Amino acid sequence: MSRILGGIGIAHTPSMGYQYDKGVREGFDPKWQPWYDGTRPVKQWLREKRPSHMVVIYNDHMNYFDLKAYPTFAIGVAAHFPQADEGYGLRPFPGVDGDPDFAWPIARSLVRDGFDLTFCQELELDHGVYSWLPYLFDAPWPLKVLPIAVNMLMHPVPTPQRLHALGASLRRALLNDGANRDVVVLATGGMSHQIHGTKFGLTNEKWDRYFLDAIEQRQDELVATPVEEIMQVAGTEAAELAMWYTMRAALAVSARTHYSFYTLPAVTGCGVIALDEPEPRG
Amino acid sequence: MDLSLEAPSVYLFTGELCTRSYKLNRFAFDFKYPQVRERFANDPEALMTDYALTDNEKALVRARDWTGLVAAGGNHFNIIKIAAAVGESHLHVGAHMCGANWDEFKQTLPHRVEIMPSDLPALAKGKR
Repeated sequence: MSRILGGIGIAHTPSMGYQYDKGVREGFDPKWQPWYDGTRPVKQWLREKRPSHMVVIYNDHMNYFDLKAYPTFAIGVAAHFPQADEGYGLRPFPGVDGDPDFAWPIARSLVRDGFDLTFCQELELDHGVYSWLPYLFDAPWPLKVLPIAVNMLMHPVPTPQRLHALGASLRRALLNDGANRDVVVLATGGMSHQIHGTKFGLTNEKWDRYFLDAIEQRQDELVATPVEEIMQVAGTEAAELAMWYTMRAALAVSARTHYSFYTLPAVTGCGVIALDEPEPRG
Repeated sequence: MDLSLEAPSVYLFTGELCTRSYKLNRFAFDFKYPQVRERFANDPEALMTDYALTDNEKALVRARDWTGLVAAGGNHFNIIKIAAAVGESHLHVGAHMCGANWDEFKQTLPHRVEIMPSDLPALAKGKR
């Protein structure tokens, strides 16, 4: 069995990536400096945990999957995942390595559990991954990544209950994969934000801070909150937060927050949480 | 504040909408390819005809009417690719959505609210 070391929930937004590149070049914008500083402890936590593999639950934003055939759940089983060009050229980072030997037993286990995933032999990762990646790791990336992409763009999107169940199945898969890996489970979705319609620019720090707190021990309360209500109070694109439930359910109920941080630099609430998985009882 | 999930507050991108406006979305999605952006710069009319856009969709593209394109069923992540090709960011698109002057609009961001789902019954549940 692989070992689950812990979990991370983190926001993503294109400007987070743009501001990273600009920040390391010429110093961080005062609005973004807190996010850079606030993610240092997570980077340090990862350095100490030394995961060999990371499962990433994220969503694409019309940068890789086109609408010809749009998967609700897709898993990347390739040995390498290039960065997606979102139309502005590639950022100065290498692609991410995958591990088919790690991916396939998990894919098989998830399907057996009722999650009929689309298998991706090719997959390019957009800002859903690349916007936060350099805040947490230095390139060349020190671990293998297993991406699981969720449709968060074309409604109907998966229910909170289903995303939570995916996490529980992922946990079963990791603990029974017959492998011997040290795994961190990361889920990413923008916190409060809406980037279309007359509610463009809506943010809700109160909601975001509640969410960061409740994800630790009140996941049932969050999962029971209808996505439509989250979209009303925190912006339609905040529906992406439901992917965090997958990460939380992949950890033990007794997992506890090691660190969390929140700031609101632009039009998307930027929060991060790192949860420690309890040591298995020997 | 307006809590509805209906236009013009929200243009929820549904599968049904995507089916109706599939050609527009295919057109806008393909702006991720440099050769499509180049064709648009050189001969936008030929490109729009190749993608079988309707007369209304073509007029919206010519007018850089980002709100109209999203209202016509374009997913905003797709539509901002067209905007980017003509030098406008997603924040410019946001200003257009709000019918606001760009320079004034950017000073107002973000638009902070503090309500919680538990506040909704009194405010909006009745309207849904």
